This record gives sequence, C-alpha cells and structure tokens, in this order.
Amino acid sequence: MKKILPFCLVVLLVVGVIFSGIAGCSFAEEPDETLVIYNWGDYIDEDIEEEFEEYYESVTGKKLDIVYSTFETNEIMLTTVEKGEEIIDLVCPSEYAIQKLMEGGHLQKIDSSKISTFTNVDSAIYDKVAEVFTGINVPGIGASESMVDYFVPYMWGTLGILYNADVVTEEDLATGYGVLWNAGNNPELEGKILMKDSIRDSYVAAVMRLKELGRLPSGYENIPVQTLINTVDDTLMQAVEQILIEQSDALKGYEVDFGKAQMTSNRAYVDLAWSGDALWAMEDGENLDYFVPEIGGNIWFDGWALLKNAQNVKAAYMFIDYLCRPEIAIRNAMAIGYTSALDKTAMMASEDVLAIVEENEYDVEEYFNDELRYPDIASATTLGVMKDFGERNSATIEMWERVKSSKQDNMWILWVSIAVVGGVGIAFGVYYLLTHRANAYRRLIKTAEELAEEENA
Amino acid sequence: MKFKDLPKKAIDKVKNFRLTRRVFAYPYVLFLLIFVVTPLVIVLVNAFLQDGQITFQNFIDLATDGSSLRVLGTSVVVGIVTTLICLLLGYPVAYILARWKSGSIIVMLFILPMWVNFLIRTYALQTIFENIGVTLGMGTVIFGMVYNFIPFMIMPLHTTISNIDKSFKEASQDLGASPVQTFFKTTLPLSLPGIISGITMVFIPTISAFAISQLLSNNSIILFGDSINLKFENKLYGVGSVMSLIMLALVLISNFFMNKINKGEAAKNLW
Repeated sequence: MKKILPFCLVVLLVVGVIFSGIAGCSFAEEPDETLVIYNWGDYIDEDIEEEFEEYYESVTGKKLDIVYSTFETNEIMLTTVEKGEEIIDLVCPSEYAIQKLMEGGHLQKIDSSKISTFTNVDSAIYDKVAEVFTGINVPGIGASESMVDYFVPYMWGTLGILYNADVVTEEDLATGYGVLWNAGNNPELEGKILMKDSIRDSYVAAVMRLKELGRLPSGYENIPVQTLINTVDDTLMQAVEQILIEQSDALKGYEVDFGKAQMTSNRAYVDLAWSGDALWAMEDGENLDYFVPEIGGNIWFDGWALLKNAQNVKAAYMFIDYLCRPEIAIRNAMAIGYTSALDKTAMMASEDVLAIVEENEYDVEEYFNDELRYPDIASATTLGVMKDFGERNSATIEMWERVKSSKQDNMWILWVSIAVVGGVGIAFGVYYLLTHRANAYRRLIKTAEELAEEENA
Repeated sequence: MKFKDLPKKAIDKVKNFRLTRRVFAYPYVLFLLIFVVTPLVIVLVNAFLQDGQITFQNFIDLATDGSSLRVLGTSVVVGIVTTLICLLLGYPVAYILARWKSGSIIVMLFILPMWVNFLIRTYALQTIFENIGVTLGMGTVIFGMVYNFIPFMIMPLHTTISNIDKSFKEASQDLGASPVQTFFKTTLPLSLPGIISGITMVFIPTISAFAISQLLSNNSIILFGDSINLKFENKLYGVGSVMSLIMLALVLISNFFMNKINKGEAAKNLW
C-alpha cells in the first residue's frame, strides 16, 4: 500500500496536468448552438457578429455563439481546412482558393433559395466568375461544376497602383505599370517603390508590364488578358523572372501588410495595392491616388463558401442572408474599405444605406459612381480573374525566390571584408589601450621610485 | 523474456514503484517525445515524400534549384559575420566587466532588453532606422542580428572570464610577461570554453532566424529560415522538410566541432 500511494500521486499529477489543459472550458452560460466562421483578418464590422447572435435568438429562440477566427493568407486558410481537424461552417477566401477547396471536395453546394436576400448580389460578378471558373472537378458531386453554385460573393476589387500624387508625375503615370519599375526615371521615386510580397500579385504586374513594353515572348502578344495572367508556362515565366529581377533595383522592398502605413506616412511613394486597401489609405493619407493601368489587370472576388463538414448549416445560411442585406453590407464596406459585392442599385434603393454612407461623410453619388470602387466588370475585357496555379505552384514559388535572392550573389565578399577590417581595427584599438595603460603604469612606478630615491638621498 | 511473463512484470513494476528522482523526469520525457521527437520524425518522413510517393525527388529539386543554395550561402555568411562582430564587440565588454566588482549587475543590464520580445524590439529597430533615414538592407539585417544575439555572446564569456583563477595571471606577471602577453597567454586561452559556447549560441540561431531579416530589409533579403517559411506557407512540405534537415545537419555539425575543440580541459589550452 505504501508503495502504491506515491505511484498514484504521480499518475494523478501527470493526468491532472494534461487534463487541466484540455478541460479548461469556460463556465459561462452554455449556448444552444454555435456557428464557426473563418474569415480574413479585419474583414468585417465586428459589431455585426453580436447583432447577428441577437437576431438569431429573436428568430429561432435559440442562443447562438459565433466562434470567429481569422487567417492572413488564402494558403493558411487552405492548410487549416485541409487538415480537417477543426469544424468550420463558413469560410470567406478568394476565388482561386474556393476553386482549390472545390477540387479538394471540401465544399457543399449553396442553395440560393435558402437566402432571401440573394437577389441583392451583383449578377455581373457571377457572370465573370461563371466565365472563368467552370468545369471544375468536385469529387463526389460532378466533374464539371461551376463555382457559381458554391459561393456567395462578399467583397471584390482590383489590383492596381497606389501612388503619391505629390511625387509621381504625369509622365510617370503614362508608363502605366512602369511606375513600379520607375520607368519615368523619376529620381524621387528611387528606392521608394513597394511591391507585394506575393508571387500571384507580382506575376500579374510583371506580365502586364511585359505587355506594355511589347516584350512578351513571340506568340503571346495577342492572348487576351484573362488567359495571359493565368499562363504559367516556362517561356512566359522566364520573361517574368527577368523583368522582376530588373525591377528589384528600383524597389524599397516587398510588403505584405505594411504598405498602407508606409504610404500614408510618406515613407514610400508607390505601392502595388488592392483597391480596398488603396481607398482606405487615400482616406487616411494626403494626396494619395490609385489607378489600374489601361493595359489591364487583375480583378478579384472574395466570397462565402459552406464547408462540407459544417455542423450548423441553418445558421450559416441565415448568416449569409444577413450579410446580404444592404444596410449590413454597407456597414461592412465602410468598416473595411472594400467594395461590397451587392448590386449598387439595390444598395442605393435602401434609405438605411444612404444614411450610413452620409454618416461616414461620403457623398452618395460619388461613393457609388467612383470608378476605383466600382469598375465596370461586365465591359472590362482587360480585367482578368486569376486562377489557381495548380501544378505550377512550386515552380512559381521557386521563381519568386530566385527573384528575391537575385541580388545576394557576391555581396558577402564585401561584408566579410568589412567585418575583417573592423575586427582588426578593434583588436588594434584594444591592443593600443592595453599597452598604453601599461606604459603609463610603468612611468608612474618609475617616478615613485625616483621620488623615493630622492627622499633617501 | 517470455510473453506470458509480461503482465507479471508489469505488476511487479507497479508494486516495486518507488518515488525516485528519476520519476520526476517522466513528464518531461513524455513532453520531449511528443513535441520534439515526433515532429522530427514527421519532418524526416516528409523529406522523402512527394505526392504520396517515397522518392529522393525533393533532394534533387533542392539541389537543382539554384536559389535555395544561394540563400543557404547567404545565411551562413550572415551567420559568420554576425558571430564575428558579436565576438569582437562582446569579448572586450565581457573582459572589462569581469574585472569590475559591479560587473554582474552591468551584465544584467545587457540582458535586460531580452525580456522584451525580440519581435517588438525588431519592429522598434525598423522604425528607428526608417526615421533616421537608413536604407533597410543587408547592413540593417546584420545590425539587427548582432543586436538580438549579442547577449548570448556576452553571458558565457563573462561567466568564464570571471571564473578564471587570478593566480594564472599573477604567475604570468611574476614571470615577467607584459599585460598583452599575459592576456594572450593566460586569459584568452582560458576563456576558450566561453568563446566556443558563445559562438554556438550566436551562430546557430542566426542562420535559422527568419523574422529579423524580413523586417529589417522590407522582405528584400531572404535567408534560409525565410526560405523554409516560404516553402511551408505554400505547402511545399517535401522541399521544406529537406531544408529543415539541412538546417539540423548544420546545427549538429557545428555542435560536433565545437565539442571537439572544447574537449581538452581549459587548462590544456594554455601555451
């Protein structure tokens, strides 16, 4: 018995330590249901979550708890979903990531009849998506599915150039994407240009720049933008790599999330940016402007998709329904700066929307007719949607790494020599100090001895 | 051992259980198995997997792709330069502080910044550089590395130097050596263990560091750690695992050499 007691103690201790982690649940009032939402960071008006919970309780009489988590890139979202360890109901990625989720068999079809506000969604977005994302093989459902049936658009925008109008001149702007290469040789732009640290966005800019310069490989000149930006064969990638390496001399660096701050604080003058970020920065900074060069560019859509293993489909549909109400959509758009995917005539028809727009000190006409915010999707043949790179993904990543490390070739010789010179200098300094002090010490002893001798004498 | 004996043995084990010192190590061993050994095995397995097939393709991919090796080269060079600078700056500091009575308090002051998370310090450094108009690049990256890792150099050096028996120095002076000779013949060789652990503690984290280089160069310099990060973010687990293994090999090799040098007792290093 005596021996068993301490053994039990240790077992208890270990078990206790392990379980205290697992069982650390809250003692708050138990909700009846949960809804798990996985969205981009900073991509919703946060008050809306609570309001939806109240709304849900008032309709169904059940207490809903929204579990809300965020991701920074589509790739992180894909990894989380594909691991399949967490139960998630709704995700809100970009169109190419939805394509990947479909191909991985992670999504279920969306039944639009369950969304009463579905008609508010801008049909031009669906048309554009239907044009590009068809014939997707969804395991277990069909080999030729269209993305239109799998997502409800939430926000959309373009990829363009955010610039400081005080510094960037008309001549610079005339070079189109050339601004990012400082093609106008504006001395003030030297080392003040930011590029996105993402191969997908940089690829579009590079391809468009090649098109502007007429440097596309032969045979590629007449390919429409939509196909061109989704072409990732070796020939085009080589040209893209070349032009991106050329660009690196003019750049300040590659940004992921600090571009807005750099632009508004005048630390950078040109930035490749998404329209929502750009419009947000333009509110904040002085004399910033945004444009999508005439030659063409990228247009993108983010939307809500319902996962196959969703545990609360009913609440998920109600949430999408709620978000598609004009007055909620405009609040989200106001909070994050991006363009809502609802049809603008449907939005303008709502009194609440107009009130909210004015409350945020916008002119209603100006807000909805701003071409930066609402480019014409239907007639813009120069704006293309990017697909997933698919099998070429690893090749593009490698290319991107070659571009970014292109200047690291012989630099190390310089640094090693500086270090050696510096090291020798410091060593000599120390040596000098030591000998100097030793000499002074000796002199001191000498004088003391002389003094002593004098005294003796 | 026969199988039917097994249950009996297990019962004996429980019966004969004693609360010895070894028992208290079990939770940690368990922790180690789950969080250190298992991930390493996963990395090892992933290095040989591509599209669910066991191949060497990941190794071939890495060897034929010029950029990864270039990045590895840059990282090693950055590591060497950082270590050198840390040693050259850290040694005099440690040496002087070891002779002062208040030295250990001042060493504390050197360590104090480490209580602030390194990311926050690096962000602060980035802002400072931006505001005084320094262009972010290789120079700032190395500065950031030195700034972050120099306490790891000063600490072991200070400990070794202050533990050196004073009589060595006195003996050397008695025998008529100048202060410089004394330093090179007693203090420096006797502090070799400190130098070696300092080098290990700076070099290895530097070559695997990833956030510092990104922040202090506006993502324009890519080191080996950044490269591994990029691979895993884009789900190239195979190549990423191979690179992690290379990293591990580098760590092991440098540890091996450091141990080799350090094997002789400190006193043997006197000449």
